[in-house]
Amino acid sequence: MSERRTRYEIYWEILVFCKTPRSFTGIINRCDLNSKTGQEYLEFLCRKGYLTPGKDTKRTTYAATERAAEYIALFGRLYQTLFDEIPGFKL
Amino acid sequence: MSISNLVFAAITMAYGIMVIVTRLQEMAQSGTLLLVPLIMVIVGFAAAVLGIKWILSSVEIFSSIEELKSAYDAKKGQMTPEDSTGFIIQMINQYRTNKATIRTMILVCTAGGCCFLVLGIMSSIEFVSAGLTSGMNTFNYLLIPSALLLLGIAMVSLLCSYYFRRYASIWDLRLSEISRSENVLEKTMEQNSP
Repeated sequence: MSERRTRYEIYWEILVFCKTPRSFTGIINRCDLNSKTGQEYLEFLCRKGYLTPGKDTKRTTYAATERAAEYIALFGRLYQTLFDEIPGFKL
Repeated sequence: MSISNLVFAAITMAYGIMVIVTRLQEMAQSGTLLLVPLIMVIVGFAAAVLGIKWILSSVEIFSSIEELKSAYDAKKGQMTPEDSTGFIIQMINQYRTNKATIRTMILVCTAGGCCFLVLGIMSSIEFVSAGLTSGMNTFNYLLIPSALLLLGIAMVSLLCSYYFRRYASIWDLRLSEISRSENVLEKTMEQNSP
């Protein structure tokens, strides 16, 4: 995905991907982030209670919480509205 | 619109190369370095480079749209709400990334359409005047297909730019709505803080 995403779009991508526990490397690869920004996003989401860090056999994993489900649902509703309510046409 | 931009870019590039070749030939035949042909060569070179650059931009946009469309078609019928939100995000990002290029494409399409319209009108006038000067009965009917073709291309280009202007304004509206949605998301995140 391109680099022009907003941070809320990146949060959404991380939270959807972390519906099942994921490693840090997996998250930054999937969401196309560098280590530094990836770390910042994960720290923010953990601090807000949207992600919970856990441990699998070797490394730290991150899993989305119930609060994350609320965010994902709200985000989806808001973005779907952009297409349902704003008159447009299909190309 | 991508296709009409490709056509205009190809015409610009071909015209630039034609100018370079003819002016260089002219200078080679005269055996001296003339100022006006030299300037024309530089202008022709700039047009050719611009044409190539524009072809690449148009192809890039065209292929990114095609890529997204085939991914969407592959998922059609079995799309979860998250898949559909993911596609919305991708489309929005594509518009954000290509916004400036799309605006320029609309302008190029309009300008190209106007040029073809003028050429079509000139061709039609040529058809009528050729008939009139030769005594009303001998119209050069060979000019009709070229005039119709030029007018057709002009109409398609102008219609494309009109619809794309509408398309761009709808996406701009969506982008401004996203800013409002971000405020809602920010407030929600603040309220939900542990």
